[in-house]
Amino acid sequence: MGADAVLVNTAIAVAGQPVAMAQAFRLAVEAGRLAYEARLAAPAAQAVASSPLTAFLD
Amino acid sequence: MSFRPIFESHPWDDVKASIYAKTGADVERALAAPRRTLDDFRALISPAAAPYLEQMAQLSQQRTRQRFGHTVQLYVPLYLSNECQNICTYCGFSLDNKIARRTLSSVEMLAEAAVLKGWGYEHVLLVTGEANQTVGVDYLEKALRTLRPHFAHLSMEVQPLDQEDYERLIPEGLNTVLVYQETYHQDDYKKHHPKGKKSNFHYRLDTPDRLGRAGIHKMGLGVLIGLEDWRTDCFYAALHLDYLERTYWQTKYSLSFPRLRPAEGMLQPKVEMSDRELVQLICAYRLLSDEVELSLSTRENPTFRDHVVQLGITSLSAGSKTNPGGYAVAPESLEQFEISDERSPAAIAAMLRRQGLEPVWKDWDATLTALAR
Amino acid sequence: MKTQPLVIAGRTFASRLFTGTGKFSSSALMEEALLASGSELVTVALKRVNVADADDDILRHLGHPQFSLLPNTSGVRTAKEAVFAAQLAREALETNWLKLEIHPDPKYLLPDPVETLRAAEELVKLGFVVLPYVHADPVLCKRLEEAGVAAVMPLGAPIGSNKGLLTREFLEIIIGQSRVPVVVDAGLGAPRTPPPPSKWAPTRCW
Repeated sequence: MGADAVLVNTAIAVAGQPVAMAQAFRLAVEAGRLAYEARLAAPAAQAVASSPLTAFLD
Repeated sequence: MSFRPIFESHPWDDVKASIYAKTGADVERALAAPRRTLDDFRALISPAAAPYLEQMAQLSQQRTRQRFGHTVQLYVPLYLSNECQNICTYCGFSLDNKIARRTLSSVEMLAEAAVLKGWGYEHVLLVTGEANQTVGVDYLEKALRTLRPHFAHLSMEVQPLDQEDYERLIPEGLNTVLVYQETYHQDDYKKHHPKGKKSNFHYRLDTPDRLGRAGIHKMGLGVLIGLEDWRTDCFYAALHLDYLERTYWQTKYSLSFPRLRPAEGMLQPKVEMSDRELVQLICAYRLLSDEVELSLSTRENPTFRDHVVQLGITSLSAGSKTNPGGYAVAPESLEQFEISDERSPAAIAAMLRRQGLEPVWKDWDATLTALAR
Repeated sequence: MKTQPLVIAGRTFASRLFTGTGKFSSSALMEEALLASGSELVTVALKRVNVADADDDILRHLGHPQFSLLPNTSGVRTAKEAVFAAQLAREALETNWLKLEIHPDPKYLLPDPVETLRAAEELVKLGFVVLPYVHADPVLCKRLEEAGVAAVMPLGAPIGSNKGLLTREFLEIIIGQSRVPVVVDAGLGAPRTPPPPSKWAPTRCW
């Protein structure tokens, strides 16, 4: 979505294993950012069989 | 606006009947509800909920950890005086009890405070009886001024006061006021409080409203368990809480559920509440409200306290003395009630740590608000 | 591969994960988790620490060079109290960075927009680097930006609810139009990633 950063407290502190969860958030934030900067591919457009409105241009 | 019309629209016998009419299906519906109502609460404190106790405890633990994390707050009472003009049938400080009376001077307060500071306390609950000649508002103001430099959080459990009195004490560093209705059963209330200012049921009932209007940060409610049917009484405490949360939405709330303990020359409880039932009540309160503080004193025994810190309790006292001067000035004087958990604050903190809970000594700073006014 | 560093008020952060210090079962576990998180900005509630005590249990465990402290004003209810708390924090913790939190409602801890804007205006004048915790309200975020805050911290869901990004649509608007960094605060539940692409792409470049 492009947020610059996130602040996380409860989800780490109250996790079953806070240290592992802290690391998970570290990786997730890095991965999310990397994906954002790499520009996610747009969702595939619907396949359209023909172009009735623009066919005359061909 | 006040709680009174709401209170009066819930007659005791109707409330009691509605609680005892709850069925297992009502309990299951209450457990499954994402947000529980007062009617769900009736089901959770009803006898029908007894078979669901383990499920309630697990849910309660989960809600408590989510909201409060792995922490438990610690506080300690500081009894300033046992002077009292009231007769309360269950209390060791009752006017008709022939005991030595003492009211601490500022110098004595500081001597007591030094012991509590030495134990690590930042949150102290100031307690008095009701004796407006000796421990009126002037005395309380002096106590707050004397103790404020030494503690981060000052609470008070004293006689109900007028709104102007609270407005005078709050800027002196008063953060929290506890005022228990004892029982919401009017006739029974009169029976247990036959003499003194406390015999005025409605003045006491209106106290949380006066506190709310005065802008208190936190207030504590509760009933004394043993005077009347605990399920019905605790429903009224929940009803009161629900009204207060909606009306004074900037105030924090705390609930207590002291079980009547033997005190010098006093009556035996009319109603006994078992440990299972107290756990049921604690869980029911937590399932009604994620954020209400649930507090347990040293009236309860060590085994019970060690277990319920996992089930919903978020605030404990430790090392308590219930006699004025009990920490340093006059350790041998008579207590208000018998202490059941006599472990030191350090031992309680160690017990919490062993259970993976962080003892929190400081969660407020009186200078923040008092000086900003 | 490294992501682009984040800059707030002239300070560069390699990690985009900011962390809080509450609710841990011990200060030692908090320290270990925060070190594992790689976080470089750690917020701490002024009301929880004993600033007079050099040996305060929480502060003692945060004494690592990679941690910058971000004091927060949790517990205050008005702009006036917040300004006072900020000054106390600046003096005691020797930082002019401040997470401005004014939530007079103790139930859901939702921020008071009126008091927050008032306090932000005052604190910026007093030279603070202000990071206000706010609802995901795009107009309020613009007003705060105009008041000179260093970043905005809109909430994803109520504090401590772990519900994820309930305010997603509004966060996207805020991100799309903000000129200061946007830090999503509160309510994140699980480390899910990457986010599904939204219907319209935020136009912001980095």
